[in-house]
Amino acid sequence: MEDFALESLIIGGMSIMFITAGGVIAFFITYQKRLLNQQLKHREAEKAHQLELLNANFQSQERERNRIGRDLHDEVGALLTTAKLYFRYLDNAQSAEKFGELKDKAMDVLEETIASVRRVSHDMRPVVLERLGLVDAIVDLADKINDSAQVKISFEHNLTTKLDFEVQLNWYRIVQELINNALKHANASHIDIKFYEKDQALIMKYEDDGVGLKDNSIKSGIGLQNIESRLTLMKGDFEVQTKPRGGLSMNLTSSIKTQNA
Amino acid sequence: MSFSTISSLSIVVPAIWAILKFTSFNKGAKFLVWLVLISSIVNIIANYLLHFNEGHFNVHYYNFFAITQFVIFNRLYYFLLKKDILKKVLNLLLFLVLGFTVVNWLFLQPIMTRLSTNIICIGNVSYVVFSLLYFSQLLKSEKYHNLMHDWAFLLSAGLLLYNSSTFVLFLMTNYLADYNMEIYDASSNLNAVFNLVLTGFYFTSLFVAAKRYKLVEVSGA
Repeated sequence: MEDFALESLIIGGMSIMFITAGGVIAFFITYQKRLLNQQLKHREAEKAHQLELLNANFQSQERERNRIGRDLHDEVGALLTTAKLYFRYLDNAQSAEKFGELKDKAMDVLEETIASVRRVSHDMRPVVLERLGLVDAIVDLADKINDSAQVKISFEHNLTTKLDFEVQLNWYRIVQELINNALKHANASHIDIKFYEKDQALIMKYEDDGVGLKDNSIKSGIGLQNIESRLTLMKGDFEVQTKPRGGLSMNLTSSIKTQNA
Repeated sequence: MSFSTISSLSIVVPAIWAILKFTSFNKGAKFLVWLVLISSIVNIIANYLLHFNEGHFNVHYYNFFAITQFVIFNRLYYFLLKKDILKKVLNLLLFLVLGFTVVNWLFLQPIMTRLSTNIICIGNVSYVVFSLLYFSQLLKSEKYHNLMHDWAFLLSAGLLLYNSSTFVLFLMTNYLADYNMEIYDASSNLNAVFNLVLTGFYFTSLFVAAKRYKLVEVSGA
């Protein structure tokens, strides 16, 4: 009986150990597969997100091209057509007085055309940003809007590092996008923008008292996707904070890429 | 021919495969190739002595094989495991076990007359730990790949299955003085089954190693 119990103990023990080891291996394979699936899902989500950003970027470029095309066609094109007409009538001018009058009109139209081209090119590559830098460009933008007395923009900063032009341009476009959003969609009357440097990062705090964002528009809005796309280029990110009394509050960060970097 | 004999001689099959594909194996897999070849030779000689030369002891061949197997697996996992601390532990363990083997053969279990169950038990536990360490390394790795293409995983799985179960057998053999032959026969048959499973894993592992699958990195994480 003792022998039988011992035999059962050994055989039972061996079998249990074998099954346990099999269980460990099965667990390991399952766990590894799950990790693999998670990795693949994560990569696919990341790829989809990048695609979304790329798409937003293309849409934004397309929108910008359309706007420039429309401006050139509607304003510059129309003005040049008018100027052409004046020049054609110059040939037919019967008196010197009439000739002078038509010439002045043609010159006015050309002046207006030059101003129009300047405005379009300014929109494409802000001259003030190129000449004076990000801080003065934002001050200039804020001053122009404050002049309307409809919206009050306050701007503070502690920026001392000389930023790469691409970084400045990206931040300028982000500020433009946020202000445009506040004016066109959020009906904001007060906008607060703060820029500061901290540990090799550039941080912007943005607040307005408009209608705020709906949850689903955070990711789907092309404007915000543009902002995210620009921040991604600068190794940055943003977060939207909810304000109890409505309005939009955002923290945006990017790395400081200096001109010498 | 008994089932135990068939089981012990089954190692010849992966050994023949290993000889045929010898040039296909990488450095790590060649440790396994040598182990399979030595195991085949030992088992052929031991079975020959057991069946055709009954007056001759064959236990010292198994004793020799037990420590050879330990050295080979120790060096194999030294090659597979990446952490420096683990490599140092493996070196220390090799030194300690070799020292203990000499003491065991001289004073505890004479090499010519008694099976070195002390060494076999230490080997069993070590191989289980080596396998688990390799699994742990795979889990921590940023490379997630098809495990069925990883010869070292297949080998570790086989070692874990076989050694965790036979550890019980050798532990009992080691510490039970009144262990009788009937019990030994019953448990050795079960051991023969597990040994066949291990041989299957050796063969699969060598088969996969010869294919030299490229372990593709899935995550950039």
